[in-house]
Amino acid sequence: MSKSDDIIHQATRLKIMSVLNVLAQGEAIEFVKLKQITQTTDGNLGAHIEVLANAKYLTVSKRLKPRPTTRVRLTAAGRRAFEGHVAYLREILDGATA
Amino acid sequence: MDRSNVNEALKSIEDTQAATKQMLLYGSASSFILLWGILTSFGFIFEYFRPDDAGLSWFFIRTVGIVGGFLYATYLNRTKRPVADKGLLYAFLATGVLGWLWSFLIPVANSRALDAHWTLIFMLTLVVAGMWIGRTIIAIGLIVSALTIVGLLHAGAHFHLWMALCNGGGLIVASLWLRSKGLVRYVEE
Repeated sequence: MSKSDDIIHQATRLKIMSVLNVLAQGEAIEFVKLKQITQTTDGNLGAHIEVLANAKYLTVSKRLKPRPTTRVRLTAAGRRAFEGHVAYLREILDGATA
Repeated sequence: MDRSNVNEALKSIEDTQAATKQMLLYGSASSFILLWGILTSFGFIFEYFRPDDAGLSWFFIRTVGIVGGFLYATYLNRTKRPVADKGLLYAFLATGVLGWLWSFLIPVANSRALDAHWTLIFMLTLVVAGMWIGRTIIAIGLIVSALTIVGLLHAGAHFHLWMALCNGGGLIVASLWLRSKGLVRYVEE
């Protein structure tokens, strides 16, 4: 039986992890694009990213050149946690339909 | 956690990942289209000023476009997560082969007609791609096709400049639109 992950399950953090899980290992996307997909505000997204970064589920890197950008990427631990949480959700659904 | 809560979470994951894949497709397609937009503009401007060397220049331009596109596709696929399905690739190949065959089968009155023919074939691939990418791309493909026919019939001696603006320019506008909507992946070691 997989385990629920309360850090990931929060609605905005679930979206953040869903986006990053589409990318391959080592790939990052810009903060502004993540904000566009998750349809949230700078402050809200920043707070949720901090929670996920503290759990070591993602990393944040800042660059100044050629223009100031913040990039976010999933860690291997984050990918495992996300996939485990999705498996947990599916198990609940399968258990409910069985 | 009850069943409706689980369903809601899974639906959110599915919708978010579908939107992400769509934006990745926009980002990838924008680079291909920008490459061809710049090359096509250059080709028509070159043909306007040096019509005698047009055959060689178009050969060079198409080679750069195909090799550049292939290299970019290889770069995208190195992550083992291609965002475009094979159906889209086959649709592009089929229309390319169709265009190549028709350029031999139909009697071409002049080089302008052949240029218009290739543009219409290229725009057909863009319209087909638009079925996967989005309606704006279909609209751009149809507008450029219509402007190509207008240019063929009415642009006279300035046909190639008209095409540099409408065809190359149309592709560049399409690529910029896609880039604004799309998602670019960065590899960080």
